[in-house]
Amino acid sequence: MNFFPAAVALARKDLRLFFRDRTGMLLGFLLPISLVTIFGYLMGLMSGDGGSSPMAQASIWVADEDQSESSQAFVALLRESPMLRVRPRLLEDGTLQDEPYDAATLRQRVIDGDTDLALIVGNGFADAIAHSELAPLTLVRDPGRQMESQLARIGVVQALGELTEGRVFTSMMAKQMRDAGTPEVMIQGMEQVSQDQYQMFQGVMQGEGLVATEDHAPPERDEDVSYAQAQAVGGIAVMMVLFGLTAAATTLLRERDEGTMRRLLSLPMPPGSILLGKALSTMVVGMIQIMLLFAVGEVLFGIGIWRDPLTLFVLMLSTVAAASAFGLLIASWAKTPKQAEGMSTLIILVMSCLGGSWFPLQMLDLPAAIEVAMRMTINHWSVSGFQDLFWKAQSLGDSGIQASVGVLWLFALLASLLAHRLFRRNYLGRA
Amino acid sequence: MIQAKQLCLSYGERLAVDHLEFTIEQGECFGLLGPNGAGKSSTLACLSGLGDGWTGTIEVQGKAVRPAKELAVRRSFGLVPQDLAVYEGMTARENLAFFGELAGLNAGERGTAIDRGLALAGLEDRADDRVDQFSGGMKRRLNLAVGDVHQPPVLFLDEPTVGVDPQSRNHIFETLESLASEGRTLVYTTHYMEEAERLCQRILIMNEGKSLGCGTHEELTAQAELPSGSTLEDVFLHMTGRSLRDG
Repeated sequence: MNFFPAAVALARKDLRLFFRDRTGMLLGFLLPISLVTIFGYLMGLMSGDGGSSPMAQASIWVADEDQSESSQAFVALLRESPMLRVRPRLLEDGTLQDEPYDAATLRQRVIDGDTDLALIVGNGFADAIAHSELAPLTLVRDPGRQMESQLARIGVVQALGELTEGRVFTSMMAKQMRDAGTPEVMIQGMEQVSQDQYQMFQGVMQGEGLVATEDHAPPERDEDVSYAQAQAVGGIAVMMVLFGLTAAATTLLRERDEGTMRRLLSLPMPPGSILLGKALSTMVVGMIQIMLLFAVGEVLFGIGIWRDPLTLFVLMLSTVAAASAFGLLIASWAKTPKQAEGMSTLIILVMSCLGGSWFPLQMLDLPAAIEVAMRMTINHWSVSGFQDLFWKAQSLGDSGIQASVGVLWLFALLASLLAHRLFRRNYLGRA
Repeated sequence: MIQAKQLCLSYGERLAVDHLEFTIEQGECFGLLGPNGAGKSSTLACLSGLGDGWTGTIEVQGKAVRPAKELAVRRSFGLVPQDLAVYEGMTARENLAFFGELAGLNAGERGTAIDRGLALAGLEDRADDRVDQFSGGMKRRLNLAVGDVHQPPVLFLDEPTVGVDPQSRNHIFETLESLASEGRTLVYTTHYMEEAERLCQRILIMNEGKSLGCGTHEELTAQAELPSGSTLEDVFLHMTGRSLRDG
């Protein structure tokens, strides 16, 4: 039988076996769909794309020892901070979810590791605010939680500023100037200027004044598309296709172990058609899988798959070709299924981490070596291509997508050649 | 006619086939008899084209060939591997159709070949059942039928009766006798004396890749210098020794 018809017959056989194993097939599709859903949702939350939370939050327990009107207003302002989740939580009926702790208990909870951050509003808080003096506030923290600690500091300072309409900052400066022996007339002048500056700063923070803002986006881009969710859907899809196709390609090892490979090799057809048959069947499975994942991404997150279906198809095909060749390379190299499983898991996880499947690494200022390693991965070129398509609204005519497609096919070609060489050595060299 | 001259095959340092010389006549059933690890399957692998790492000469009808590289040669061969080389997720009919297609049968020929294969395996009433629902004996019979699906002039059989019940074994023997009576050449590896004695006109006794003797039962008895009437097992143990083989 000739090379190509034999490969097609072999691919048909593999697909028949794949689709006949209903449970295996269902799991093979359900796991990636679950991951795309979870990652897309979480990335949306983290980046604010989902609209529910614009930034990360720190959980902070508050002990109000002062129990004054002023301290309660301050705690209420803390609760409004988008950076803080104040505990105990205030329920809708105005009651607290849990009993509040006193200062000593909160300190002990931080020591015991039960709480990472606590704010103690000390006795005399109201007097200090009334007299524009430094308020008795203590942040008790686990020093290992730097990020939350910084968020808490910002939240506390903002709440204090709002409570005193900025007087707390000017009075701090005035105290320092008095201690340094500055004449009173100068201090009063400074207080007036500072107060004006605070009002101006508040205005700027709310988008008024000094900095003008213009919003621009590619006009072709779908309005619903969000950067993080497009990244998550593309990234997880590539990773799962890599896992799925490597598993499919390693049926080559099963053929060897179960004896069907000997029979195939004895038949009147070129041995290379066995490898091509595997490549064709894995590519069909991969295309179904990746199309399903992007369809889920469209339904759940509106990533915009209908804007340019041709470019999307070419990118998917390029990704699947590279992933399929990678799977065959692993299957041709490995001596046992365990070797294939171990090596592929290691490489796919590293590629996924570096290539942006889990997190948009391209947003970071990476060291040159990591940048180079990132560009060596299938994930990077594939995810970049999908981001160019969905986020930058590019098409096949744009250089970004052309580069992604070109590199993915180059990878597919090189990996296929190497896989063929290893296949001949490991499968045909036995007799 | 198939002739092997100075046939050698090594796996690293180990010589699995060691300068073998033999001739298989057209239409005969030729046995390769030897203990575990004697090199029977490796010899079959060289002849059937499973690999191309051997040295020496293999001639088919007087012409030197390399079966691994020559599709025309492999078209005239069929292989029944020792493993159950059928797809368990497919039915008996689908297995026969698939291997028939790869062996080069067109759609029309395949229909006939499938019916013949099912009859050969005694699986007509289980044709559309998946192989993973079959007993070991049924799988062995199908394994044989698949190897013969394109009715090749030469059929290589690598221990085709391993682990089967007496009924299936008898069915396989009868099938092979029927194929031999059609004038087909059978090359049969086994380490069961009674199988070799029942089926094979001539036998090559192998040990550690080497030929220890080749011929009919009587010729082998004479080569071993044993009294006439000695069993094949006497001859075999005399030639290969009585030490245990762990293959």
